[in-house]
Amino acid sequence: MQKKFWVISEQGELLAEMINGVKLLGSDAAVIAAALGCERAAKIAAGAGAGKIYYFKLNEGAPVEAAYTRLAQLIKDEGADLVLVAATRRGKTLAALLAAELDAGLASEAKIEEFGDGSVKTSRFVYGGLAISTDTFVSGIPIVSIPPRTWERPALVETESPAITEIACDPGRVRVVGQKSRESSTVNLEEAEVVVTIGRGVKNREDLAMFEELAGLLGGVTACTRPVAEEEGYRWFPEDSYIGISGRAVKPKLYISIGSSGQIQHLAGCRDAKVLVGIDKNEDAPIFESSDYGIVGDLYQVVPELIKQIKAAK
Amino acid sequence: MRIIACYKYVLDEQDLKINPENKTLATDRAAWKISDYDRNAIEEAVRIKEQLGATVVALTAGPAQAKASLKDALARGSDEGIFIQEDALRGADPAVTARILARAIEKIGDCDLVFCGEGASDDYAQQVGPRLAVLLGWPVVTYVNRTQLEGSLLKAERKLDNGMELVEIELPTVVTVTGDINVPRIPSLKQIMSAGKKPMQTWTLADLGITPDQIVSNLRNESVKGAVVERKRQIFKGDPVETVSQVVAALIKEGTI
Ligand SMILES: Cc1cc2nc3c(=O)[nH]c(=O)nc-3n(C[C@H](O)[C@H](O)[C@H](O)COP(=O)(O)OP(=O)(O)OC[C@H]3O[C@@H](n4cnc5c(N)ncnc54)[C@H](O)[C@@H]3O)c2cc1C
Ligand SMILES: Nc1ncnc2c1ncn2[C@@H]1O[C@H](COP(=O)(O)O)[C@@H](O)[C@H]1O
Repeated sequence: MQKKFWVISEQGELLAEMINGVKLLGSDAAVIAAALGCERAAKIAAGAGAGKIYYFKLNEGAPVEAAYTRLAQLIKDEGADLVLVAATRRGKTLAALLAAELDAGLASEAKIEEFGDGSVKTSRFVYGGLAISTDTFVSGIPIVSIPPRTWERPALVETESPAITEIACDPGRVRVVGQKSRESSTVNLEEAEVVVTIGRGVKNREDLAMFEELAGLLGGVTACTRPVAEEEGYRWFPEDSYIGISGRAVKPKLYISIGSSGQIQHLAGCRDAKVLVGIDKNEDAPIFESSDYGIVGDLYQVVPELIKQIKAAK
Repeated sequence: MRIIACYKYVLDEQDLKINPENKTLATDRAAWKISDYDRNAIEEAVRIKEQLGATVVALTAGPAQAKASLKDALARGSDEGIFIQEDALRGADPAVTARILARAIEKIGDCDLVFCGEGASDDYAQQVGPRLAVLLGWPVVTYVNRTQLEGSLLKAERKLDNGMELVEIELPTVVTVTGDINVPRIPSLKQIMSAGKKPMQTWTLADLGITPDQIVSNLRNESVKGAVVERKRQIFKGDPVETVSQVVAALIKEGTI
């Protein structure tokens, strides 16, 4: 019998990405897409080649996650060999609600290593990225939440066939009363060849100019650690521009880490850097264990010198 | 009002070493800690108690050594500690953990609010909070970085991928908190001393009426293996002009710059 794969998200781009990914898994499975609260996402799923499309229409004031009860019901009715949920924060919450409702296992932010005859094997980071856990689903419906950018994103096309079925959701008990969008990063971190990252070792916001200059000289971009994006007193960068296990992953030729101790949760985001340079005044900082080249010193002396010497070398 | 703060006692990932031969994790030297964001969960519960009056119950489930965590949880301002001892919980599926915690919360009874961390520092599955809510028949609000309680109405700010979502919800509810919701207090010596006098209980699965077949996972773990990238580790210190020139020379030689 033909297998059934579900792909679920509130974002069309992520549905398209997962539909593409399912094809790459080499399966001839039927793809059922669930677009949560966004009709355009449903049309994108249609354009990306889903065989069946549901558009979950949310009640006024209901968060996206409220779709989970109806979604669980539909999955039960139609059956599923694999359920993929795009791992945005909403998606991760929805996936856990769905898994509990279906009494199913869930591999969070995982990669699918094998999809064989009724067996699904996944891998995911644990301990902040220090280790990889590999797990196999042995019973129940396998549910996996998939980090965005796991697969190639196809060009987005909106179509209206196959027909989109609209599903009414339960309102749930959580009321959304407001929304504040935030500044988002316009930097293409994933494609950057050089990334200069700063951590809490940098004292003042005004100092950022120095790192911009360094990145500019090398044809690269700047980024930061999680506290520099999030913590009270910092918030110097848009929140979607920190590197790490819970942030972005980069794969530049050169990664320069400045004034960051190099905790594993941060390093998990730059493990694919070809060359890693660490600058920190504390010679015992873990960053030096993970550097190809390390400079122990005050960044306020080292970075201006670095700029000077790179300029001279050009 | 009774508030429950769920926390996981985890190995400190900074102490973990990888055996170079077979990539397994050497855990014998690692210290245990209350998972990072769970300290924020406890802190948020205690802050609400301090403002509005409440009893805060710190709840953890885990293998025998997790019992030692109760004192820390109590020193952080919780009023009571409950430990569910079960060795099978080491490395457990969050589905199983949630099942056990839900039963414990029902046994504690008369709860209005359950706080969890957004995810545990070891598995960061981000599942237990939402799963608990389903099992309790409660709603859940995840990734909360601000709470305000007005009577039985909770106003919360959720931090999502592209911005904030402001929500309102009638208690009871499960809330999972981010690491920037508050700054967890560091217990004073006095708080540490008095923690030992607060009520602590240890329950077993049998006390919760849970049988071994109810803690079977849908997932089988195959392996946990170190994933650290090997680097050259050429470290320079001393005069900045000198150290920088050595690194710049090396990068030029490699063709990196
Ligand atoms: C579940 C979880 C997920 C997380 N996810 C992420 C993530 O995705 N990304 C992330 O970045 N973090 C993440 N973290 C946080 C992470 O554990 C660290 O706390 C964080 O990365 C530390 O940031 P930092 O290096 O900027 O600050 P610190 O650790 O405070 O390091 C600052 C460094 O600057 C040095 N310094 C100070 N002054 C100078 C000077 N003048 N010159 C040179 N050096 C100086 C200090 O010696 C120190 O080493 C996560 C944590 C948890 C628990
Ligand atoms: N064994 C446990 N005991 C008590 N609370 C837990 C346990 N495991 C997880 N939690 C709670 O659930 C949250 C999310 O855990 P996880 O789903 O494993 O990432 C944690 O931050 C804790 O608040």
